Amino acid sequence: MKLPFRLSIGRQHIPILATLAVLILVFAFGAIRHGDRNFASLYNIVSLFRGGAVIGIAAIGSTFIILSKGIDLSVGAVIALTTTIIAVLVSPQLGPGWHPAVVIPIALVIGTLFGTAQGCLIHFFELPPFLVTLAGMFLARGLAFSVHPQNIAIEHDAFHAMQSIGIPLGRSDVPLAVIVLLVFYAIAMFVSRYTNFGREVYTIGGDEPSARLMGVNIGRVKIGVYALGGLTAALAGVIATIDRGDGSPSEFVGYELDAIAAVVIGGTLLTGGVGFMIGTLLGVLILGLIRLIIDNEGTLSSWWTNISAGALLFGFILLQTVLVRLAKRSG
Amino acid sequence: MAESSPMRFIPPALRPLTWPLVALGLLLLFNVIFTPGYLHIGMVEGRVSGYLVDIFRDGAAVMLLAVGMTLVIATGGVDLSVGAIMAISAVLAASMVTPEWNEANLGAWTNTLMADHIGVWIAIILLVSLIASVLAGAWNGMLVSVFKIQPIIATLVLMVAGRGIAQLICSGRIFTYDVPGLEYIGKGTLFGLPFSLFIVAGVVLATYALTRATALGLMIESVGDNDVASRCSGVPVRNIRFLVYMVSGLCAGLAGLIESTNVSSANANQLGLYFELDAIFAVVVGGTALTGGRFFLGGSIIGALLLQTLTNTMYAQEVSPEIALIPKALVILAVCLLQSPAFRRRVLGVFGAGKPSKSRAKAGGAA
Repeated sequence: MKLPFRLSIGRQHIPILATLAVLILVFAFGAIRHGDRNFASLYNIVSLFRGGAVIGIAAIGSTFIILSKGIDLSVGAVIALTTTIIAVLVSPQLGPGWHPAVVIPIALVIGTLFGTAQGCLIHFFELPPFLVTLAGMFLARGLAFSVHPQNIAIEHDAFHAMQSIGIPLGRSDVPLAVIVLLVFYAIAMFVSRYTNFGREVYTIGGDEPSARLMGVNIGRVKIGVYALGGLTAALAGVIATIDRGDGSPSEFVGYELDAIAAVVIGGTLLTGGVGFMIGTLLGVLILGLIRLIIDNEGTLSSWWTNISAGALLFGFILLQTVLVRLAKRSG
Repeated sequence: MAESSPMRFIPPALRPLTWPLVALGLLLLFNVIFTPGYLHIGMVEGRVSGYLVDIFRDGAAVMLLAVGMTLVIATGGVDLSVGAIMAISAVLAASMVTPEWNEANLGAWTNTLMADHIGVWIAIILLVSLIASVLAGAWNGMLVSVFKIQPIIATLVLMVAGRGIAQLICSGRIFTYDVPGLEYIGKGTLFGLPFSLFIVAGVVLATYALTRATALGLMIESVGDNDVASRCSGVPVRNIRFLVYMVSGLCAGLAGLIESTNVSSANANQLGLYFELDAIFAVVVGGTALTGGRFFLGGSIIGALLLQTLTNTMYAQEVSPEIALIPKALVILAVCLLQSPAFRRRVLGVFGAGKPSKSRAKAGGAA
């Protein structure tokens, strides 16, 4: 039988295979241990995707940024800013009361502009990404609070309609959040592997001086990944607003860390240039599964989530360090 | 760049500190104009009080963190876990003065000891908290120096897991306490000044003496500059790396104790949150480049004071803490931009800030 594509497994696939193995193992553990509670039910799996949708969408941008050897610490704050802006703009009492069809694109544009500005500072003034996006985090959080200081519940028919969208699958519905998550991962996977932009991101992350010599427009790609990061963070904010039905300037603290953790657990090197988009989705699912198992245990408290996420992070970092060293040794 | 027109009037030793000092001066000037009685320092109940003292007292934790972070950044590393280490150290101390926690985890004898010899017990608590912090730092040091993992990633592990560990210690509860001996660290007054200032001064002076009166500082800088060359010239690169992360852990532990004893409670989720970012910013503002190879301890302290002055200015102007993040972000960006060679070349050059430097920068750019 001939496959339409080459199926070869090389060393570059080891981290992602490890991620997949961990996902399967964690799922199997949950399914066996909590089989009496229908752990492996379709409903549970859909809710797993749903729970990971916001971080998952934001992590798309983080993956591109990390592949280009950067980092984005502003994700959580941009999500909070987006939800607040949407909630204020659709509210007739607090804002102009515009229709979500107008407001959502505005929110996406604001997020993209925010990311673009960060990218420009990083590229034109050669500032460390870490510091720029840190300032971006403070700025976005502060802006969110100055837009409106408290949570705003959204009462809008269009939002109720979007909340009830669902593709029936078995006895459960696949909600809008999951559809958007899957569609955008499909797009992101395509962009990262089959477009010039995607290849250039890998090239810059792998070796920037070489990329420049090869004629890659460094500025365009660098600013592009941060713009993309702003866009996906804003999109995550839109999904969060629809899913939760409110705008919340104080929430989503630490989402940037979860996104980075998902990227690393998904097998992408934080040193840039190596990794797969799908790995990040697997990473998000692993983190969600751990949370689900800990919830199901009942006796285990929520802080075990942090500890096990840290342990997983450590395991994958160690695995990658070993692999990178092996690769160097064999030349 | 240093020879350009305005700079030549400034002594070389102070040049890296020019911009932070200018920013600090402007902020203080703003306060003197807009906050009545800003410069007033009075005595209230035997302690010196006033806005200026508050800056030092409130900034104690970040100043301490900045000391450890300066050394870590000088080796070309970064320590993201200091906030989490603060939480661990604070939660340990708060747990060990809570009788029910002691009874459940250490045995009833600890409560008898606490009741009979509170001084001894506090000494034990401080020792345990600080040893735990140093161990946490050693874990980072091991990942960076032995496993050769990039510092930003290595310390991310503890940043994520550390708060979980802190919550594990106190079972997710927030202990509050009333133990004057322990609270003295954060609230006490010595010779009329906040006691925490003496801790900061002690740590700063000890670090300065150890790094500048011995070859240690030079070795730290050489590791940050070029670790291969350092190893070849006999610098114990691995041990130096280990050491700086342990010092950073120790500083974080002390900072955690100061922060939590000041409010007599320890919240594993909130204590020290984002302090790592403040500390890194203080160091970078102080003229220590993130690329390593050089450090300015005094600059980091000024950076920390600049941040705290900004925060306190916001409080004085009754800006809510959340909205105060906006000016903070803008100051971070402004100072970083002013220190960025690319920004000076591209923007300041256009405005003709120092004509000699403009031509020199152009020549440098062409070469």
